Amino acid sequence: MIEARGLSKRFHDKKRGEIRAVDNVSFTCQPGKIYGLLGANGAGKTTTLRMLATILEPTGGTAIVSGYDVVEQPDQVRANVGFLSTATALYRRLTAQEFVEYFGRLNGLDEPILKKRVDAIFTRLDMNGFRDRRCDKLSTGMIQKTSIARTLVHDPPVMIFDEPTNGLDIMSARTITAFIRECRDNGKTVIFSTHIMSEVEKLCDTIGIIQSGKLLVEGSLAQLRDKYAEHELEEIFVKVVTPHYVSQEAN
Amino acid sequence: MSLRNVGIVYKKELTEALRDRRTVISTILVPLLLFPVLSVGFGSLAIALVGKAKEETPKVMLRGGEDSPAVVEGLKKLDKIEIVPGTPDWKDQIINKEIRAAVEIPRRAKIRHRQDLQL
Repeated sequence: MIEARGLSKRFHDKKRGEIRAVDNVSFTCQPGKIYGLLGANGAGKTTTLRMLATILEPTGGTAIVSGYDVVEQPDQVRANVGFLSTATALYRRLTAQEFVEYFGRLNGLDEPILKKRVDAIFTRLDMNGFRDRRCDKLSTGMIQKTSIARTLVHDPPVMIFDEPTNGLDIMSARTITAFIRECRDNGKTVIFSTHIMSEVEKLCDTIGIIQSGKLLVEGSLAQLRDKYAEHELEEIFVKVVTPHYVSQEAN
Repeated sequence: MSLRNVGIVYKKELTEALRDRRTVISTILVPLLLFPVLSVGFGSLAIALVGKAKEETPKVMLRGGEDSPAVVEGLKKLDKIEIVPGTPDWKDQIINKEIRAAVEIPRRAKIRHRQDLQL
């Protein structure tokens, strides 16, 4: 479970002064459900997810992830979180197997358990054909699978996906969305950020629309449709965001 | 970070470094090949230079000695040095390494013992 409590992140910029990247955001993600954080570029999605994954420290508020406080217990949070992003790079000179094992060891897995986990994941994701191939020789799809294997190796109860299909072709994107569904079906708490409406419509149990660091609205797709009298999520999104929208360039 | 994690990261970094051709060449192969070549090369050069210097008969300029022919003759008989006649620019010749030394023979110098002429 994820519970964000007044989560805030301020940055200081010499030219622009104080920037509120995330401003007092609160929401709850339940196990076995997918929470979609929907927002334009620069809305605060990635910053929010990075605070949940303890990559960034909040400047205000906190979040409880799988029972641990991101500010007070970041190590325990990290052990319970799998973080996947298209921006995540692999270690080029390690093989796919070495790469996954490396993160398994860092997450405290013992060798016999690690071996079992790696074998199971590589079989499940159909990765045995390239497990001994170096990461710099992998195709985009193989890289995605290796990244997924890395997030799964310690079997975390919470999965965080930061624009996971950004820049991927349809086949690679489908691998990711199938994986997100599987995580939900396995009872994991899933949160992911995107600006692709169709993904949200297909995947999310709860949708949160974020803009200028503020969570403007949240609810199920059906609830949002009722509230804004629109069927298409894109229309709902535009209705919600337009009054608050400042283009990224202007911002 | 725990010591265990330090070890895991260290092992990973080492594996990556050893698989990088440029790192291997610059940190292992080049020193392995170049250092012995340099050591042997400089050693041989030093030995050659010292040998050459040993073989060379040093030139010594005699200044004076007109009234001490016996001393001059005695010095000329020595086969470890080559006696060259004195000139006023003896300092420049030493600086330019044309002669090794200049010996000024005092007036009325005499050889008291044969050992006096041994170098």
